[in-house]
Amino acid sequence: MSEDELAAFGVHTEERADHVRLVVTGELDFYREPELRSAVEALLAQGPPQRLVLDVGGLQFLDSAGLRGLLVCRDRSRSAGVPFCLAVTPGPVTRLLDLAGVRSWFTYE
Amino acid sequence: MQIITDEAQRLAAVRRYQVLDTPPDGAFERITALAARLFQVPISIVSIVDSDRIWFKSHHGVDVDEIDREPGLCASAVLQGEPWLVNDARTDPRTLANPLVAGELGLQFYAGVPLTTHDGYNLGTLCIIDQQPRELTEAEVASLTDLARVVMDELELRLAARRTVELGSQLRQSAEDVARTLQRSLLPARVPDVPGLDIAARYHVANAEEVGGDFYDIVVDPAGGCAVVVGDVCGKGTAAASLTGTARWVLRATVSESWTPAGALARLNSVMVRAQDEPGDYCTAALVAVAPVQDGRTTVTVGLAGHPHPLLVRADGTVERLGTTAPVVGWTLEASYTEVAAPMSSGDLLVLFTDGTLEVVAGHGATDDQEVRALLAPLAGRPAEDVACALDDALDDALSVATLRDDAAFVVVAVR
Repeated sequence: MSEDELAAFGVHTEERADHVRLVVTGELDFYREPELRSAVEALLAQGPPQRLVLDVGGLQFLDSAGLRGLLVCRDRSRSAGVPFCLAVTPGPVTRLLDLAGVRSWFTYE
Repeated sequence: MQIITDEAQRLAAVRRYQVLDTPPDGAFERITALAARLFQVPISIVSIVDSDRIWFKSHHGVDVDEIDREPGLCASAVLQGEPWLVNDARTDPRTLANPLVAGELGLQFYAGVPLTTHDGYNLGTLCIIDQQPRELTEAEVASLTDLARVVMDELELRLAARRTVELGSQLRQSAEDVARTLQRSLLPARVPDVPGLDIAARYHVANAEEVGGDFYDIVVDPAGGCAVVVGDVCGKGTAAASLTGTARWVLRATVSESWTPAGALARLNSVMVRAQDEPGDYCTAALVAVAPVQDGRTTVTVGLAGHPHPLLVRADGTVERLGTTAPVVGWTLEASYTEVAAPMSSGDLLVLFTDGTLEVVAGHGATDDQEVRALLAPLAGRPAEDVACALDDALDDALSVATLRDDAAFVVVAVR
């Protein structure tokens, strides 16, 4: 897939009083998932935050690879000893979590 | 460099560069104009020596595209490895009888530097021509030689660019071949005959260059029934393909021992989790065991793992979702699976599909099967192939406005 066919995707970090918030927007799919992983890994590498919140409320689309990305972030964060949770709003992410039967695998903000 | 003078090989090199009879182009025009200005001569030419003619890639100061190989001077120039200089053509024994010299053009000065390929073939020359005698200094000959190298660099660059494009298209072709072969190996060669059932299956590939992550399989029970699975492996490409192969064969082996979908999914889950050092790959699946059909009646037992519910379309047009949601397979040993049974009778349809199918019918990112149910309801009582064709049509309609982002697979089972 060429660059101009890639769906819009963005990830940025917000420092909060008691946690670091990683906000992702756009479409998280097979081609974009590695960007999310590296963002989380970079964050954990530069001094683990007190708590990590992955805010996926702004995602318009998530595919199976995107879901894998969320699970990998959860696992990486946990193994670094950093409490991890998702911030969601009802939409594409919650629908896929339900379809995949993994809603209970995450804790939520 | 050793110049290779074998004419057949030299002509093969000329062909390889595919420059003959190409349209004029800025880079070479600039070089001949520059040469004319630099050496203050009226005529400068980039020539390619063909078997029977000398063709001009660029001609500054003379309005001719090509001349015969005889009496062209470039044909002599390409026979050697160094600049070919004629300071006064009227007295030079090599040229004094040449019609270009004695005739209308009145050529009196010629300096041509061969265009030598990296492997030692002279394709033609960069030459400068004057109508009065001249003499080039050593430095001027060096400059003309440098300019000829620039011409050759341009030709090499074009050849490399063309090769890259050709190579790219060959690679794409071979990737498609591999993908197609691999894909075929991941699907049953044909839909088997099962007594009392009528089955149709489809696999639509999103990208011909990539092996998709969807799969389906139909495992025949020698006692009369069968098991049908539709699954989706997370990811694309060869990594996903290898996982798809594993998933397909583990399910096939397990389900044919006990015909219990929940048990087979649990087994696949444990195989996949244990096969990975750390979680990374997973798959979703809907697995349905269809009991042997007797008098147009059977029972289906459905196990789900993170997959859209199979739909049961009753002969009267009502549509039911089968199965209880359970987690995807392959991430954690803590996942557990259950199964739900439902009766089916003659005229009822069972439709298993992947989320790619769902997206095609209901739009990018859709997870709700409402539109698939609406599409299927009017097809109640129809043969499996008709239903598959209706789904194909829905797919074609969707593709007329957007590209297929995900593979789409589905299996339709009708009770006769």
